[in-house]
Amino acid sequence: MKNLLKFLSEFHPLPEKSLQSLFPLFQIKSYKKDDRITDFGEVPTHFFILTEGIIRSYIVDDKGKEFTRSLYTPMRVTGAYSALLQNRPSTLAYECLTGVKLITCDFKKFKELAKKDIELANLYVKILELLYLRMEKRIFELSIMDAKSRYLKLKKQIPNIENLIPQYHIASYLNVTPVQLSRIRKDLYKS
Amino acid sequence: MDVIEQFVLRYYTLSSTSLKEFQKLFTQKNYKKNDVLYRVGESKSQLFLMTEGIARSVVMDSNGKEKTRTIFNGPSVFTSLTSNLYGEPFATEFNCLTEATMYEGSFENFIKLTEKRHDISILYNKFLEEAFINMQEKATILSTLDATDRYLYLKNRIPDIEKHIQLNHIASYLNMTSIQLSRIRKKVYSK
Repeated sequence: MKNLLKFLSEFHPLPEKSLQSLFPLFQIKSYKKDDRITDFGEVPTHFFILTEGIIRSYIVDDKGKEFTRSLYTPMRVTGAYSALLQNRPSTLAYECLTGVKLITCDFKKFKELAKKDIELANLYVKILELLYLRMEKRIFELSIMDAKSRYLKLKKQIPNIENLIPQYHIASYLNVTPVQLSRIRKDLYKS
Repeated sequence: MDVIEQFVLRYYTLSSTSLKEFQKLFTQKNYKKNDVLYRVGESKSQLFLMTEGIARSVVMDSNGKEKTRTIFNGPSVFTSLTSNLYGEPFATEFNCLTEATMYEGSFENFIKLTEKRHDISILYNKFLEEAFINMQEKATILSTLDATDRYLYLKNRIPDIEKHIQLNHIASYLNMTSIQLSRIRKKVYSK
C-alpha cells in the first residue's frame, strides 16, 4: 500500500483526508496467466493499478483477426476506460500475459468521491491527461514509426520483454507478422 | 444565454461564480481557412473552444511529409496537451480547415482555476473524458476497419470533408495512400 501511496502522489499530492477516503475503494487481486480481467462485451465497473506482471489489451475484428492495443507493465493505471466512461460493453479485452497482481478501484465510487473532494477531482484530471497522452503516442507510433523503430522503443521500455511473453504477442503489439518480427530481430542482432 | 455558457452546458453545469471566472479566461477570435492556431516550435499554451468550424492537428512523418493527426469538428474544445504538460514546443501545428469561431484562453490560467474551483476541475475531467473516448474510437477504427470503411466513417462524421481538406491529407488521416483513397472513392461513387 505504501507503493500505491507513492504512485498516486506522483500524479497529484493528496492530503491525508483524501487518501483515507480513497483507501476503502481499493482491493488487491491476483490473476493467473491467460486470465481475462475484462472480457469482450463486459460492462466494466473498475479500473486497475497494475503492481506485478504484464497485461495486454486487444480487440478482434469481425474476421477474427486480433490487434493488440497496448501492453501494460507495473506501475500503470489500466482498464477499459472508454467502456467505463460510457458505461458500455467493452470492445477490448484485457488479458494477463503472466501472473498478475493488481489493485482494483470501483470507478463509480471514485467519481462520487471526486465530486465531493477537489483534490480527488484533480487527481482524476492528472490520470486522464496521462492516459490521453499515452494513447496519443501509441497511435502516433503505429501510424508514423516504422516497425523496427517501434521494436527498439519497446525494448527500451521493457528490455526483457522476450523473456516474458511469446514472440507472436510482441509481433501483434508491433502490428507486424511473426515472420516480419523475426527478420527485424535478425537484422538488429547481426550488427 | 452567452456562447461560452452554452458551450459549457454540453459538459457540465458550473456555478455562476465559476462560470464568470471561466468566461474571463477567453477572448473571441475569428479565423479564416488555413489560418494557423499553433505553429511548430512555439510554446504559448492556449485552450481553444471552437464553436464553429473545422480544425486539425498536423504532424510530420519520418519522411518529412505532412500527416493530419486529429480533426476537430465544432463545437469542440482542444489544446496541445503535450506541450502544456511537458513544456515542450509544439511538435504539431494546429490549423483551420474552414473559417472558425474561436474562444481562446491561457491554458495555464485554466489549470489554476481547476485547482481552486471544484466544478471547473470536474468540467476539465469531462473535456478529457470526451477527448479520450474520441481518441480510443479513432484507434479502434484505424486497427479494425478496412480502408473503405474508414473512409465511410469519416464521411459519416463530416459529410463535406472533401470541400475543406485536400485528398492527400484525408488519405494520411485515414492511414492510407492517396492511390488507395482514389480507388475507394471511385468505387463508392460509381454506385
